[in-house]
Amino acid sequence: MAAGLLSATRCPACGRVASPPEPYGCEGCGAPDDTLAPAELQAAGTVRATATVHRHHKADPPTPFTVVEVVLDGGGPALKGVLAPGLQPPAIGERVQGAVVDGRLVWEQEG
Amino acid sequence: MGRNILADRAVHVLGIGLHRYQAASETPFVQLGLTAVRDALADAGIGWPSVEAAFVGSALLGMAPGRVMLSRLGATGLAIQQVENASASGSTAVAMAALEVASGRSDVVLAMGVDKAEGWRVAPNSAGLGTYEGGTVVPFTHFALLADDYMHTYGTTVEQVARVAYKNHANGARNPFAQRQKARTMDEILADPISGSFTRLQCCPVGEGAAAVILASAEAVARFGLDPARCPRITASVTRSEAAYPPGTPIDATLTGDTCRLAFEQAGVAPTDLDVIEVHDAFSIEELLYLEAMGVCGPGEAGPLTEAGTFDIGGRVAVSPSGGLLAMGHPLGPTGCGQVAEVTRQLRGEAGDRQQPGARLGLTHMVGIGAVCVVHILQAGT
Repeated sequence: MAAGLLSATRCPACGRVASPPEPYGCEGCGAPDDTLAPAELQAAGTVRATATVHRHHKADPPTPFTVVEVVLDGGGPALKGVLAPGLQPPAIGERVQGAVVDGRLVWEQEG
Repeated sequence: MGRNILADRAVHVLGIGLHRYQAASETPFVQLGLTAVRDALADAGIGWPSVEAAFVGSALLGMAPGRVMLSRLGATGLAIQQVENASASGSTAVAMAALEVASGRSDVVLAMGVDKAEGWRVAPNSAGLGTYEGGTVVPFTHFALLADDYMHTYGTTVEQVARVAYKNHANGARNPFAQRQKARTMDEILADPISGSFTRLQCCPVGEGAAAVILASAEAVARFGLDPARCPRITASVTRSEAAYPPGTPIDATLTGDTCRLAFEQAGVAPTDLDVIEVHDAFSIEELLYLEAMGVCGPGEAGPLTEAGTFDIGGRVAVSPSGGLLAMGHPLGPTGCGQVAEVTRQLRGEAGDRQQPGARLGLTHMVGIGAVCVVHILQAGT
């Protein structure tokens, strides 16, 4: 899996980046949605935290699964996604890359 | 900030009442709510016709729970408003009631919370915003991630975080209104994993119940001939919502810190002056995060201090003496009102075997999905 690109918006007025793209208006400064510029972010960064989930209210995804919170490179937002099935949870600070699969951001260790 | 109207016209707690928090049952919400209100009226020693306005906190009951319930105390025609503010619904009812009294519009006002854990509808989930999480990050995982980050940053251990639940379950065991009334061993606390380091007993139960507090002016306290020592004063009432923090900012703790700073300013006290704190400990890590955000202790200190007993009843400051959300429970609407009831009991010196000795100053704190935060500070009556 190569690092995917994530759709985003960047506010020309205050610089705030949102991903998924912001549909209504900038949370940073209130600039309306039609002024926000489309952008793309590389789905790559460092692990801030992980949590392996043992109980879930739905069958999908099957437990246990691991949620990974990642600080994107370049000061973007911290994004949560699931670890690709079958992998050992990464350590905090480890580098990961991700892609959106069936609407969910899926992370795996780089390389 | 505008004028501090709580300084202009004093707002006191006259009476408190509760229906025990419990697992979902067939009991109608009307029965839960009336039990708490009748208890509060009896505690205050006033009659229902004296109450001029009511704010009813609930998050799950749907439209119009107030009058169908309160009319069974006698339909006096008082003002009734429902307040929904997620987990902070009850706290917000208290804030609205305090404002109602402080403004001078009413003299005696009921704030209550009542709820049943059924029919969840959460507006942000249907707001049309995108997400990458696909339903995998429920609240316990949101906070499990914060716990993982916190433990890594400060070297706090899984056991130190779990000590919050150990303490709060021990407190809840002494609270007849708590949903969980059983002291637990550390082995029990650490069993049954849910998400990350969290176990079942480090996550709050969401059930049903009711809590009521009656607020009034100093004139009303005198008019009814009540003992001022049993009527603590609300000296701060602050409601805030999440601002546009820089990327990566921990939202819940930052919002808590900002809200509490305003509350301390309003009351003219310092975080280290507090004797009693009822905090939003829906998950064990939250108590540590929020105590540090409030300035009760420094960053990374809350785990070791919890282990050392600093936040026990009888310690430097009693934190979650009711059992908190972890043991008393979190039935949503009632929770914030129940916190004010507990702090009132503590400041009166009527908390029995969970009394914090010499308690004179207390704080209540709730956060709610959104995120919102509501904080009150109460000063013992004289």
